[in-house]
Amino acid sequence: MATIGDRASQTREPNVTTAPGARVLTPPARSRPSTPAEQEVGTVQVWPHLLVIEFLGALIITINLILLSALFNGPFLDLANPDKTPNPSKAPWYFLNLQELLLHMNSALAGVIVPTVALILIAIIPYIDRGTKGLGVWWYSERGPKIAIFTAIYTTVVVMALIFLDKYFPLKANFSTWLTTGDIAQNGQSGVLSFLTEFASGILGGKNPELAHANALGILVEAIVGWTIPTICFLLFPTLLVILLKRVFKGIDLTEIIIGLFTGFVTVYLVLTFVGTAMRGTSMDLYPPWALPPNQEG
Amino acid sequence: MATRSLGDQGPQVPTPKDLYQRLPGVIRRPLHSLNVVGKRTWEDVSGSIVRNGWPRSVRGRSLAVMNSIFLHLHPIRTRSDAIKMTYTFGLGGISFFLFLLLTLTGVLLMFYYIPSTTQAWQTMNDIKNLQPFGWFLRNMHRWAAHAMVITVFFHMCRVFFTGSFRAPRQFNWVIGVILLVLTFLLSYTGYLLPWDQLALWAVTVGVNMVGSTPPPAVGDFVKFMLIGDYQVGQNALIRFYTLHVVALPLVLSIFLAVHFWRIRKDGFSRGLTFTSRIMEHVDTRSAGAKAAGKQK
Repeated sequence: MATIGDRASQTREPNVTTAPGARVLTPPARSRPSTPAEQEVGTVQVWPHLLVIEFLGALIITINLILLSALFNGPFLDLANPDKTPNPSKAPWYFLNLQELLLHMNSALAGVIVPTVALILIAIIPYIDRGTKGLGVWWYSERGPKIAIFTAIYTTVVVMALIFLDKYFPLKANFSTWLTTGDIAQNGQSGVLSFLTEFASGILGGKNPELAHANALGILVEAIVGWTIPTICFLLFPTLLVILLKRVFKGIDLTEIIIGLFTGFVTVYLVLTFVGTAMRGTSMDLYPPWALPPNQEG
Repeated sequence: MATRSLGDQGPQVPTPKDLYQRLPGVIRRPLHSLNVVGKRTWEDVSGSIVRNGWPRSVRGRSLAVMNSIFLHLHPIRTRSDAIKMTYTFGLGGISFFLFLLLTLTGVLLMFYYIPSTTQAWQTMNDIKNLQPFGWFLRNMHRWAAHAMVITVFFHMCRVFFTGSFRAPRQFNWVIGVILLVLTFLLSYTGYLLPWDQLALWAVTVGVNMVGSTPPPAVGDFVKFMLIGDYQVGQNALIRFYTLHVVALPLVLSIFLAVHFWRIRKDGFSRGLTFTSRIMEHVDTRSAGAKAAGKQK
């Protein structure tokens, strides 16, 4: 009696479309397991082998969640009050990486463009790395873990360095000083880059030169600190990573470079989330994680 | 392969027939004379619920998987090295299970919660302090939500580092990225619902981020569409609530169905199903590369 569950029927070939123009998917004869015994080598029945694992997994997760929920209460603060802004106001932890970016660049770049571009780049990975090698194998090659560790260290150092740079050498404040045009009547000093502001305010025109200067200053600072420098960083440091990977790991291939870049993304995500969660206190200032001040009501 | 394995005996519990036999004669005899309980009644009833009895053979175990709506997404057989915990760490399965738990606890919370700025906080407070086990349900929903964000993210990392996005699974990877975004959105929309200071200001920060979409006119429009107002208030609450309890779970479920379907059709990345065996022999190079005769 040949029913669907019969072993013999499992080896039957599926229907293959042979309509005109259709690609006929027929593997070379040798690769096809021909006997039930050959097909079953290394396989087990889903009932019970996989179902037991799934059942135990569900059980373990449920028990852990029950314990977690019994021991720790979720946060629940006072009634929402639009007039009382807590200091700092933080997004949910998984968005704190974006909020961290927000502190260093234009909000459109940090909050919209960077996450969108990052997600698109991740989504198209399979269409860039089109090889078939490494399917279903951890780390692709022996060098895989080494590349990942190297990238994780490199990325952590770069990200932390950039965060500290912006704290001890605040770009916005510095560029504002450099771009300021001096007011001779008030004995003010001109910044080294004031000619740029003069030039830009000339383009902007207007009858009030002071207003034009102020506008030009605002636009220039935002263009340089908010857009140009961060964009350069986003392009420069991954490029530098690829160059370093090529130097350190001779004969690195495309897949390994993409492993590096993906690891870089994951590291940036984790490091920025950590900094945003554990190192940003009052007024989103940088604190060591062990000295983070408690949240203040505004 | 042994035809009998662990669990073939089935659960050793008395069947209703055994219990019936133990009933006092006063009850059993009239039932028997009325011919209500026939010789095969229990088999008829159980056989109508589950298409197969407890499987006791290779064929039975195959049918048990194939003939159950809850199990039929599984293949009949799978590679033993594909179900090793150190390969997947069960992250996708855990994410799905957390989604089920979140649905269950979420539905229970909905019985008490009122999405109104004047009542939301109070109903949440009641859930925590008055409703039996309300605090527990709420904690479970919250922690499971955080856990799901983490497991989905690590599931993505696992799939990447095992090269499981490779042909023919490219599009399932794209669906996975969409599912990650949907998980973020589900968690984020749920964040506003307690209507406490944490909820309001966390969502305000996020909404302002969305509002910065260039150019400013578009950003303002997107922000207004999202919260239905110029600041987070009643309109935002009802929008986030609707998205959180209906729209996003529905969309996520559809993508989830496709995600699972594709795993089943494309084969497990470490298993060798018919499809993946075919794909091993299909030339995945681009037309240009083929023409140039480049090495595969």
